[in-house]
Amino acid sequence: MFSRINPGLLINLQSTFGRDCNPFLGTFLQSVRWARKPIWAPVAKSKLFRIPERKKLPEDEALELRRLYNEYRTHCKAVRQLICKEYAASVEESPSVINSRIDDDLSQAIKLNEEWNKEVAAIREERLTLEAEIEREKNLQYMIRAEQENEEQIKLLDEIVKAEKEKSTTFITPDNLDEAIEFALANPVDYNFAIDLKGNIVYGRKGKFEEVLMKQVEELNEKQVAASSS
Amino acid sequence: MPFMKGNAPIRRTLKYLEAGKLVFKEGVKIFSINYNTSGPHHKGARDFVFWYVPQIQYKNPEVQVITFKNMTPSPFIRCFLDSGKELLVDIDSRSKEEVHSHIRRVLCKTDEQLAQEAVAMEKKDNPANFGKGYARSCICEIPGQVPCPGVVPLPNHMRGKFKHADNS
Repeated sequence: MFSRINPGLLINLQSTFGRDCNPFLGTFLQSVRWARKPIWAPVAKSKLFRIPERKKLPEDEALELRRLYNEYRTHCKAVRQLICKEYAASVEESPSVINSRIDDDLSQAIKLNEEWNKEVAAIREERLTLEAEIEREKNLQYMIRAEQENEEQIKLLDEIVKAEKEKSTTFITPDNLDEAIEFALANPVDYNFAIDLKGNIVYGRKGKFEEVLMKQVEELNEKQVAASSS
Repeated sequence: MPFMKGNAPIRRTLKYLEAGKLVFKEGVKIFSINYNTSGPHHKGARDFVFWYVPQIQYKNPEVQVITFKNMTPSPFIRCFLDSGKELLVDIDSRSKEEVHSHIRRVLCKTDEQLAQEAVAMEKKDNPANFGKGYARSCICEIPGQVPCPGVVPLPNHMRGKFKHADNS
């Protein structure tokens, strides 16, 4: 690119216009490109096959320019590399750094979690002791109730046994069997009864209503006598 | 649960799902939670599953979210990491908000990280962006757009030299 441009002109322009005309930015060409004809216009017909004569520089000047350019390019390259390196370092972290950060993060999270778990363990312990206490109380109540029920049952059974023992005195045994038979024969029991429309009951197969009526009349008389005497 | 009764159906709205704050770190691969359907000390876990698991699954499509019901005496969350480690979080007798904040602190990305990622994602996502670091360095690369005047001069009607030319 630079070989086709007069370096002397370049240097002059650069010193005159500053960085706007820096040949490395390409703006130098822009600033003068339409001075004569548009950039896309082809080479004029009359100049199409012209081979411009290569400009000759004095040898010492050429050497000096080469030296200056070499130096300049070296400096530029160094600065560029430095900037690139710094940028890469700022943007990207090495895998080891990333890994260590992840590990730190994880260990921090685990630490936080352990603290949390300890708190929760304390809460749970408290809850479990409370629940155990309630359960114990419930069991105790249950036992007391069961004992009470047991005692009541025993008492009930005792009473039954006592009653049965009392009754056992009237039981018919082989010893008093004959007496019982005689007693039964002597005192026949008749469960039959009759009832009239007024509700008078006559017991026994051979009972008579007249007897019942007579009995009622007697009772009434007795009551009247008792009332008059008092 | 009826389809549209009470406040539970908001769990199904996109707005609610997108409002989830639990975005796990890269390492988290499986999120499992054990709880029972009864018991006061499982209440927080039940509510957490009811309210936040949809958000978690929506926000972390790459993470396996799994719930185990009625298999444990006390509720807990267990996360499996890609490094092979696992993180056990005891959530006995804790409310769903407490569990949420703890999980967010321990397992999730911070708000700054999320903001950064959102910005990066938007940059990558939006094809209209151009310039340094994007898919195209200049809008003029799109066919039909005006070429850069650095390459091809603008049409005359856009150039001040012609627009403001004194034709008198």
